[in-house]
Amino acid sequence: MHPAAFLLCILLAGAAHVAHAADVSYHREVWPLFKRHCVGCHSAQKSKGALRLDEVAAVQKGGQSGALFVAGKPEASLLIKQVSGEAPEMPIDAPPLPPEKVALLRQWVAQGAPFDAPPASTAPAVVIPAAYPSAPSIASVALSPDGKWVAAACRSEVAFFAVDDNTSAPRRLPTDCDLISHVEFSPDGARLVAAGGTPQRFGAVTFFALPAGRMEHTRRHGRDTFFRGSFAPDGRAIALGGADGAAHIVPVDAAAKIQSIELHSDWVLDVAYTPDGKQLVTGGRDKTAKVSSVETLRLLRMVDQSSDIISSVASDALAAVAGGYARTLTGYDYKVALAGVEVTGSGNGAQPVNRRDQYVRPFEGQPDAVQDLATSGDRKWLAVATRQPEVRIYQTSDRARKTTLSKLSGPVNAVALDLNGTRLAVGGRDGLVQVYEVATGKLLRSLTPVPVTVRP
Amino acid sequence: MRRILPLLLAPALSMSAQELPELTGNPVAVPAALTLTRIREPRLLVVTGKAASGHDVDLTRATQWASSNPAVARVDALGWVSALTNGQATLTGQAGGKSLRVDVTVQLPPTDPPLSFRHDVMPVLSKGGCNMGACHGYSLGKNGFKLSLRGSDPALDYPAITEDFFERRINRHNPPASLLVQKPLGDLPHEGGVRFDSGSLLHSILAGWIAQGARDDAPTLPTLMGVRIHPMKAVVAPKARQQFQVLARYSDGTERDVTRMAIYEVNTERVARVDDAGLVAAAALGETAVAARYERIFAVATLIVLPADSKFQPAPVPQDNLVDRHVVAKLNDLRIEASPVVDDERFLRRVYVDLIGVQPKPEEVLAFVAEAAADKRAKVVERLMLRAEFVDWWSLRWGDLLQNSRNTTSDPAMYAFREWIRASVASNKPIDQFAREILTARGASGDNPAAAWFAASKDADDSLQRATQVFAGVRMLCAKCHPHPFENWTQADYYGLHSFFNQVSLKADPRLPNVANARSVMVNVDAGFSSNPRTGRAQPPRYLGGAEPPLAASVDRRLDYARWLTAPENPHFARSLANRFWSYFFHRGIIDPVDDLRATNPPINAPLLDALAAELVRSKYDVRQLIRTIVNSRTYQRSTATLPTNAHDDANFSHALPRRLPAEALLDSLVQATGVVENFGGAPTAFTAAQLPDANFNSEFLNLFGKAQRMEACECERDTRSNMLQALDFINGRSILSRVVAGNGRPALLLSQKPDDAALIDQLHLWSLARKPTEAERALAVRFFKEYGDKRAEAAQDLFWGLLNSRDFMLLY
Repeated sequence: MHPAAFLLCILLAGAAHVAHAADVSYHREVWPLFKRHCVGCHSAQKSKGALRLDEVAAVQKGGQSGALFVAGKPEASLLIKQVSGEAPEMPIDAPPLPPEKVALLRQWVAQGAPFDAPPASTAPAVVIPAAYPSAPSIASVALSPDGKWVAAACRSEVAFFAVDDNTSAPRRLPTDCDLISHVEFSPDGARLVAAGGTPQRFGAVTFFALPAGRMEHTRRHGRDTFFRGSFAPDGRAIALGGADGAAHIVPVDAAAKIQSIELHSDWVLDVAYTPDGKQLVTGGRDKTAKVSSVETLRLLRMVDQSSDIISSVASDALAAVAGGYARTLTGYDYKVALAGVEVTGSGNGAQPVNRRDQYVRPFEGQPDAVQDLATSGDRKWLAVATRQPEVRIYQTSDRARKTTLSKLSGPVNAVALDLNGTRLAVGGRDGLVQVYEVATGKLLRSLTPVPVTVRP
Repeated sequence: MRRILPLLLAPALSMSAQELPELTGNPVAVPAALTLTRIREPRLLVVTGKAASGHDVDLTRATQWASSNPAVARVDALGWVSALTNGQATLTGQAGGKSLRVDVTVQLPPTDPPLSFRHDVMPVLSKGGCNMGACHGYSLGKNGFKLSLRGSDPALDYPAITEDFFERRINRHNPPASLLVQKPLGDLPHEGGVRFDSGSLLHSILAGWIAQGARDDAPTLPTLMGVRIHPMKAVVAPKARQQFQVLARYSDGTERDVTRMAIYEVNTERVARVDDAGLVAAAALGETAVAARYERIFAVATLIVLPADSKFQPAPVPQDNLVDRHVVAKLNDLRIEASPVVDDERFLRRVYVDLIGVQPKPEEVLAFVAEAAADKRAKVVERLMLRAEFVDWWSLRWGDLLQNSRNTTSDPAMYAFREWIRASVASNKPIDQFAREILTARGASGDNPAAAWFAASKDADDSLQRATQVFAGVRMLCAKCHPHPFENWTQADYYGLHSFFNQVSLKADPRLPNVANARSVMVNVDAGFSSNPRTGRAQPPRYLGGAEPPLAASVDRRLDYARWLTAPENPHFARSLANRFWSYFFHRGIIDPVDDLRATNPPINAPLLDALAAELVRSKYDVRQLIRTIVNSRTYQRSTATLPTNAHDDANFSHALPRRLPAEALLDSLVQATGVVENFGGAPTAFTAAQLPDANFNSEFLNLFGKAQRMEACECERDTRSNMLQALDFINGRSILSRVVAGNGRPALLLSQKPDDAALIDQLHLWSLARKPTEAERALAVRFFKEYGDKRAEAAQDLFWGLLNSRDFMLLY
């Protein structure tokens, strides 16, 4: 090489270095690059290759292929090898990083991969307006066992009121979750639970003492919201479906551990206890309905594989019930479905020994996708909400329809029954909560439980 | 050391700042006058000028605009005009020393109407790529979130966004908390990556719509009627840029500038690239389509990149032949010269192979070359169209397209259909009548041989897909399950066609019991319409891209479809067939591939295709007249040799493209050259390759050279490419060698007449290459014979083997 050319190379390398060296900031440049191109697969939600890039500690730790970088040595760093070269390994299924972005990463590693600041949290704060511009839809509704109290999930808060008291405004119980998807009274009526969380951030359960509405405690769990579930018959825990494919048993006792049963390959949308509290019925986005043991935390049987999502489950004394988007409502006789060999191992996907037609107890076909199921406390009645503006009530002993409340104001999201099925609460997509007397179909109460600005 | 950097950057900067060429005439701004009705919807002024060199010059970003009333309207550096308050303003622009003026009226409603789900949010999901096939548009969705493919079904997408899982994806009271916003921003991990940035237009539309209550549209919402792109055509210099503008027109008569929301693609990336904002950067000489999609509608513009300064002199545009007229006009536009016309020998071989599927014999070559008549080329075309081999050749092509084969129909039915096709070709049956007879055939092969076409269909899906591909050049398969990705065909279009063909059923032909695949085509005129799986409702018959005609009950609906398809004003039939026939002579269609016609695959020369289609209609669908028009043109007769200005062109027919002979023509020409026939087991003795009734003859040669197997209605089934196995077969295989050395082979036959070396060499060339040797070739051959001494037979065989192995035998050139 000509000496002058050599000198020029040094000058250029030096110039580039001087121009950038002090400037590459993890916070301002590297993290946005990770965010744009990498964290879709390498984060808490999906740590592919056991690598996470959403936390500084995790970046420093690396993944299953080892450390991500050797400070000061870009050429020896896995991070640089993965994103550079003729056909870079990463990002997978996406165009290679533009050369200037690779150069930026190289620079950052070359200067020792300093972390000048952790990634700023971008989580938006929970907002509970004093008055809503439009009525929030009712995600879940609950009726106390005596039928006197109603609770409704209104996005981030719970509204709570006495059915027979027309004079006072509903109590508003705020939470720190974006979305509450389940409210329920404990079997003794002494406490109210609100479960949900903030999508893709955390799940949360909050207990309130009644009748004061004082928050007892709240606990967070996992990385996504809880869906729906049910109180154990003894009132000591609530079982909830999770986005991690597990049913979670959350004790009322704040000090006790949460137990989880990993059951499904996708979100568990609903969980129901059998009346004896010994088994759990689950259904979810993987289109299956399953029965598991509370004692062993193991799957007993996959009782059904639907053609579409199972949105809701329930249980009476003799059968599990599942309803879903396939417009079906089906009972599964416990005795026949669970009979036969003991399940060993994880038992995932265990099929009943008996034929399907032997254990299935079908209900009539439903007019639309099933949105919610609710049993009365005595498990003698089952209320069914579909996307249609009506609620059907069945007697569980013979699966015959007893009552239909039709001509509701709009599509129903949620239903609840009291202990013996005398009162029905309905939560609508239009934000309206209504309470009916089941025997007569009489509307006892109809209100939007949170303040709404009246548009001019 | 720091000082070096600016020095290095300097040249790059000066290159990016465009120098304006000298302009002739005044620049033009589009639109010429503006009315703005929304604060949130600015409009783009695209300014173009004409350079002295004839190029279009994009001045959109080079124009300095000033507003007479900046409180009412103002223009940014990129040419976007924004409204501020009601009133009038005059915009005055300065570009390249010229000035221009645009009047703006701002008429804002008292309150801004809310954002529309269909007209504002759906385009965001498309522009952001959310509903692509690889993402949430996948048939099973992605990560539990499913959107309709490319936004085809807003009615399904609305609940998926606003209702699914307790309204988890949006929060009307706290829009920034919505997953629908956080995920594409990358604020939550998103496998699809960051789709837009905070504060971007896409972000503000999504967040704004959620904040307004994420409302669905009223049923009275105007519908999108059309999308257009401006400029429709731009001729630019290499490295130039051109900004395009996309306008959407609605059923209430309003028009919106959707340049920022359209999705752009160029079909030839070698020539130009396009960015997200519709700015095209020209890269290399050539031509490309620039397609813009907005919602479900495509608009296509043409970008031509010409050398910056060229000494090109336009050729006079011939008026005597419509092909030459349009081709030369286009070449002049492109500053490309046309190669000269080939000599008589090459022309004769080309036209023989193309018209009758076999090359000319020596005496035909010699007679043609010797003929003095000025119109001898046109005359030979007429003579060839009367040859028996003409019927063989074109019946073969139709047999392929119509899939006449014992794979799907019985032996007698296949032969009957073959004879029916041959009779149609021999009598030059008008092509519209030919199509109608096929598409309305019923009964068994004994009643109507054309019924074999329906008998080869598995079901109505098969029939409609074959019918549209062959007679309209349109592929409908995609639209069976989802909206067509590159064209505005929906399932309603697909099942509309289905309803025309669903009355057909097949039953065993009672007169041919015990004959495999012998079927009779039955029409149940009382069959209902087909059900569109998307809506679950019956879809009335709908013409391809057209109306739903009122049809009487209990009629054979195919009759109406065939009548509509073959009507002179039909947009598909004549056009697709003219294009298909063109491709048989030029190696590629004016639209290519010839059976994938769609808005996003525009013709390379639209006036040429329109003229050919019009000629086909005018001649009452006379295929021979169409062939005549094509092969009598200078365009058809051009040399494969290129000139400096046309070497890069492989699409505009400025020179011939070397083409390998199709399998049957190659084999029949080889048989004719060597005098040794090919025996096809199962076929009548002395059948030529072109006469074979289907592909079930297990001919290694024909399979190797890509004979169509008739399993698909696609022109692509015939493989005309060359490959190594073919070369190896020619060099080492029996095809040539055994024929050359055969006792009844050409060298032996010629030697038996005891010719001298010169005559023998001429004859060997004439039989193999259909031309006399050049002086150099003759000298080489004479030397070759000398080296072999008295082994004359061996010399003749070896020379002949070499000639048959040369490219001049394998290719039309």
